[in-house]
Amino acid sequence: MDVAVENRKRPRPELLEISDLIVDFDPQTMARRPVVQAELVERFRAVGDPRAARIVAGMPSSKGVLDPDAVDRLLIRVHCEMQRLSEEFQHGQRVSELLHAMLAALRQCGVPTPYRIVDIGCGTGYVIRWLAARGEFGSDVELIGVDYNEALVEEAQRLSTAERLECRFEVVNAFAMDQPATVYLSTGVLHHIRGGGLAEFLREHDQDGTQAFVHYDFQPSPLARPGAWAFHYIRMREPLSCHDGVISARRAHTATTLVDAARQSSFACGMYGTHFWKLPIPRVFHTLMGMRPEVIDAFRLTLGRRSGRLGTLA
Amino acid sequence: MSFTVISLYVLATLDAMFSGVCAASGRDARINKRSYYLKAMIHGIGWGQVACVVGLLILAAALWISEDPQLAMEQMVAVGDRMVLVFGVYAAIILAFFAVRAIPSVDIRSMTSTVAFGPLTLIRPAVIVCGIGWGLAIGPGPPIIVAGILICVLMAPFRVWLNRWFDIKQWVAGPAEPAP
Repeated sequence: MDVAVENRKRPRPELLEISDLIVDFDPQTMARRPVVQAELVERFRAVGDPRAARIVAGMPSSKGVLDPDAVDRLLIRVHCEMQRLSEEFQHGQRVSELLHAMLAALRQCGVPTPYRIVDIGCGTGYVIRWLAARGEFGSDVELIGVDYNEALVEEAQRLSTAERLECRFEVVNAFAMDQPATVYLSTGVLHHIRGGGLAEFLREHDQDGTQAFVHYDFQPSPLARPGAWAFHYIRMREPLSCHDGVISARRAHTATTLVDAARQSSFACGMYGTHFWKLPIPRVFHTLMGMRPEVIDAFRLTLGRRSGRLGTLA
Repeated sequence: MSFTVISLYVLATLDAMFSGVCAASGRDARINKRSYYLKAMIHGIGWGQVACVVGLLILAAALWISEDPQLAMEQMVAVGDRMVLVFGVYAAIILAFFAVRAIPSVDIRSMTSTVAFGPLTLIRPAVIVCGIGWGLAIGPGPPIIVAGILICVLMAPFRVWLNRWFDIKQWVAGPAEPAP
């Protein structure tokens, strides 16, 4: 009995993703900072994650510092693998359907064009490139992907140029751009932001001209951990992808945490698409949404038959 | 006999084709890559033919070392018939989910990945082991049992080998320059 009580009191070990820690940037200058391999290995061991420690210990390094070029190549491969999951889950189409309804609502409410859709933490830009290739948005919609990682942004731009897509990618803080986004978007980013940083991140969306945000992230559920393990085991080749994929699902924020943090901004916030067809079957991703209150009624109309997926926006 | 041979050949070729797609997935980050996957299917089918030839050589060797080749041939066909049953059901389930996936709904299509293609990919090696095991359960002679085990060792990790080959060939990325 005492042991059980003691176990309950013991703090849960910190869950760390390798991809968060093998790159380090100065948030002001965006300059790359060196990552000391031994320190990182020790950090993973300290949180009881010997597998991650082994993965990091096996990465190429020079004078004890992780080789930034090798890390970049690895991250590009990992993002390519992650894109496979997005493709299987029809993520591009899913985002496109929601954005079409959102932009139609903005048009109905007389919000002036052009509309700028900014994908935060875009990685190799799958969502923005998909929207550019298949989204059929008008010429008054700008599609922009931003990320801190220059190598990923360069890869996104290379892929976009190769397919002649009308979109662009920048290494920039999404909230420090010359012109703010009309709609901020992200996929699988929110769980990387921990503690008070989440509310701060969402408050930063409060910019002149910003009408809405849509953040897709893993939905915690009893099926999430085994599901993430199975899918990453089957589909991924890089050990880093398998490791971080499962940890991502375990670190996912609950809807309550997300909505509580989002409601500290001036947007009306809520969740969208948490379950399949009103059945008790959770979706892999749930969606945190925020909108200017004056647009909500129009948005419910433009959503059409999908309006049932929209929770209370307040 | 011809039904058994043709059925197993078609099933092996289908498996090899899908294995090609699986091995090529997650290596090319372009959006439009129909030709890429077509090429991957062709590579998978090509390696599937190699596997079929190796399988035939194993069976021919089993026949050659059998004391009674006529009986061994009859046993092979009986084993093959049972394998066709297991693999046929597995293939039919996969193809049925492809039919479901044709429904133009984001949710239905993503659910086919979650509840069908993912788990079905996971159990593929087990299905091969079960299919061959079910066939060998009729109790054929030792050469056929050995041949069955060798074919199992050849086909169960086929996707892993194809993946390795794609790794070696560095099947990656889209074109560096815009298409003309």
